Amino acid sequence: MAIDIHSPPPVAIEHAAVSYGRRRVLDGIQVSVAHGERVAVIGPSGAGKTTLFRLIAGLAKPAEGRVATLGRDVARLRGKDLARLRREVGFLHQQDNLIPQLRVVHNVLMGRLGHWWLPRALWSLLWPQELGRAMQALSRVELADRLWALPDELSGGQQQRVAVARLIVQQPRLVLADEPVSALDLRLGREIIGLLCELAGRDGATLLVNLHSLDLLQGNFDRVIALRAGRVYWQGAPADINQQLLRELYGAEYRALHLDEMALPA
Amino acid sequence: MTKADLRAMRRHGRRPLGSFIALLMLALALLAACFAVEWDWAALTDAQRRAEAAARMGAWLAAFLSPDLSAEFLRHSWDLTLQTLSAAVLGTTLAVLLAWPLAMGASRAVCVGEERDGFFASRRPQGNVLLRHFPLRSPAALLCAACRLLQDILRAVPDFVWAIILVAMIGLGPLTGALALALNITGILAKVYSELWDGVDETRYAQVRSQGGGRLATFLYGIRPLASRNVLSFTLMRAECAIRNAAVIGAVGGGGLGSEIWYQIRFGAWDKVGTLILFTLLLTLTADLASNHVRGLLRGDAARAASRAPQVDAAAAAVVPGPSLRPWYAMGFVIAVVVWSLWFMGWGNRAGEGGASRNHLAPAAELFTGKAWDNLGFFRRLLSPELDLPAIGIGPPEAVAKRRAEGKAVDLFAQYGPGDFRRPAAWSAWLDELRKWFVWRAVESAAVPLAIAVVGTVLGVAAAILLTYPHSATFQLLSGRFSSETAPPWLRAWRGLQLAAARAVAMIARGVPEVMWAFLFIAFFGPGLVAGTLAIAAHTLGVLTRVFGEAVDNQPLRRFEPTCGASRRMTYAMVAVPLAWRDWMTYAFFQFESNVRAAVVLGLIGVGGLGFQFNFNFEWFRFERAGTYLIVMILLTVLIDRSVRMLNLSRVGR
Repeated sequence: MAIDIHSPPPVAIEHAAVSYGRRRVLDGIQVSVAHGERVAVIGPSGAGKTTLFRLIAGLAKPAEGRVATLGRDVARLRGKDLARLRREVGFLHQQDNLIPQLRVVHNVLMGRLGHWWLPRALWSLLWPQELGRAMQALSRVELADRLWALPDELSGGQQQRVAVARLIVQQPRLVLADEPVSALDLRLGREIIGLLCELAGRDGATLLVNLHSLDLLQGNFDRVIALRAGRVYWQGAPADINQQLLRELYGAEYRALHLDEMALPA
Repeated sequence: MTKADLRAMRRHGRRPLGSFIALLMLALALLAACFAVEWDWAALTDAQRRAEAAARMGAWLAAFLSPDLSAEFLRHSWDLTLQTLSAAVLGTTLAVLLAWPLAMGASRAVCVGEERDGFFASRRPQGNVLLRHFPLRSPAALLCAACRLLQDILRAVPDFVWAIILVAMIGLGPLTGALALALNITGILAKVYSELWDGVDETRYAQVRSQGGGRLATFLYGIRPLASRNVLSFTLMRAECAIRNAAVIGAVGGGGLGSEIWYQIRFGAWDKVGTLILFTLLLTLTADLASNHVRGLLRGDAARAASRAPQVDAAAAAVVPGPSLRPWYAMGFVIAVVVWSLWFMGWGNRAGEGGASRNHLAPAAELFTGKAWDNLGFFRRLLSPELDLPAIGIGPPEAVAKRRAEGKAVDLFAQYGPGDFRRPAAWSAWLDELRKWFVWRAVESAAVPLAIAVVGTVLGVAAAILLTYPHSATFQLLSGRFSSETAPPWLRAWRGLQLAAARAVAMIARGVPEVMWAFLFIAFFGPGLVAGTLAIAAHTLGVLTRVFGEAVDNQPLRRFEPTCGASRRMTYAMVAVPLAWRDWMTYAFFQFESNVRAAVVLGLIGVGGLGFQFNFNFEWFRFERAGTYLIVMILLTVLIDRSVRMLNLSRVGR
């Protein structure tokens, strides 16, 4: 996919704040992500990582400041703009990505819903449309043989791979992955992150991943954004992270997460 | 798709055909329904008749918009409404009281309990399957089978048929209606209670048994509390249903609003009918809202109990709260309503001619003084149904010979042998032969309620799926939370309006009972299958839209987020519908079962088929024939119940 250098950045957040009731969950956020950049978001629980993702997706509205995703102001989304944005932004959650009642092929083809009209989508439930596309995507995640399986027949890692296959079919310009690997063990997690990065590299998509464990940072990401108590605490390259920074960032959680056992510069 | 893809597909297993088979079955059922009985669509297709129907509808609407609001008639309608309410309350109370012991008998877990290897001990670890279902293996098992048979009969004979029989015993009046409702609801409640109790996982009350509790103790301390919320919820739904049925059972002599509506329709006093229907709606919609509210409270309790369970709060545990008074308040309220109903039925009622008070409880005394049972003796002939055996060559030889001579005996292969099964002519000849046998004709008449129920349910389900979208709060009010949309105020107002309109349509569709819909459609389109089918479809639409909507709105909003750019409508079709589909189909099959019974009832009031034949023969004192139709009715319900159970499609009150 060719990237238009002059188009607005995929994510541009200026002084944004989000409140739930009286509580400020995010405050003074200033983030900009370039085309094709692979960004990891880290931070202790309750730092506002998920809310940041919801803010970028437009699911949470900024109480202050301005958020533009793929050049569109998320506070004023409707009609055609909304439809286009939803087509171009792909989600990957920790779990419940798939509809358990639909077979793998239908779950994968949901990536095409933004391009189909309703009768075709309904007919697809009976006679899957663009089956070749689904097959290709499933081959890329090595699940082509589970085309007709139900999600409950798959393991957790396989389910996440099906969700990645859906992203491949959707071909989004921006992928928001909210803790995609927290429910998986390290090996499977590495596999999923690898697939996501490959997707970003091959199709030129911009990737934002919210990570709970830091083992997967190195080598996969261009930039790390560290959130703490609703503010951007630190930004930089993965190689620049050190123990001192992590201790300050995670505070009480530092030992619980066994971060001190990580091989990092002290 | 390339060739490589095709090869890969062939390697990667077959396309599952489940949905095609389901669609095929549905198409077959619809085709069978279309060809098994004669549909007269002329009322809808013929331009002139359509115009006539439209004119009648217009006249009726005009009358409905100018109801008779004279103070006298209003007071009369109000009295009738209260009479209806009291009949429904008494009927439900009686049914609950009778259903408990019956359900305890019919529930395997309660009545038979833990089966030790007894006299018929089997050496196989799982026990002999045949033996486990053999009713004569123990006295308890026999009791269980007998209770199930009794509950099937009570349930299978519709309340309208019970009313027809009771009218002959104790005369017209609201008490007749109440008793008829009670008999039918007893069967339904007993079935559902026993299924709910049997559905409780045995390991959950195993400790009561291990403490040495007998069958009764296991039931009272183990099974009953575990199922109580579902039992209560289902009882409420039935009570609501009883109120709707009480409002129409007057059509066959059960008193209340129905008798007056039927009376006024015969006189064509549409303004009065309009008033009465308004009062019916007032009653049923109030019941609807009240039951919704209470069921909401029950659900809330369950949610709170579930959320409270995992936390052990030491501070809160230290303070022992007194027992909650709410169950006692609820109990007190129920008792007060029942006492009021008894009083009203007996002494408070002034709905008779000229405001004269009449004790409607008095006929009940006849049940005890034995006069009514003398009347019942009159019906002994019902119990010796006509089987018309000479027609098939069984019975006294002279009778058989006489039938043969008249050419009215079945000689199946007279014209075509069994080898001719490929020729359509052979089939119609065989059918003509079979129709000479009365029992065959009785069985054939069951095709009418079945066809009405199939077509009506399919129409109702399809309409409910469409109506659930505007009916759903998730998609109309809260969609911004999963679609990122910022809707301007006018758009939100517009969606709110759609929601309100959809909810109003659903409420009216279910608030008006099937029988009343049938009255209306018969008045518009003339008696026949079309009117009955539309009536069933309309009521099904209302009932199902509510439960369909609940199934969608109970899904967490988060489930609708990852939809890859699908529009709101697409999200409904591709995410919400698949998520709720299983629940929907359970409800739909349950509704189908009840629609078959309803279609029999519609037959009584002029739609035709089984119900009509029963009523016709009963009114002409041909009780033997009426008895045969009654047996067909029971068989129809029992067969449908068993086959739905076998397909494991019915799960009530989860």
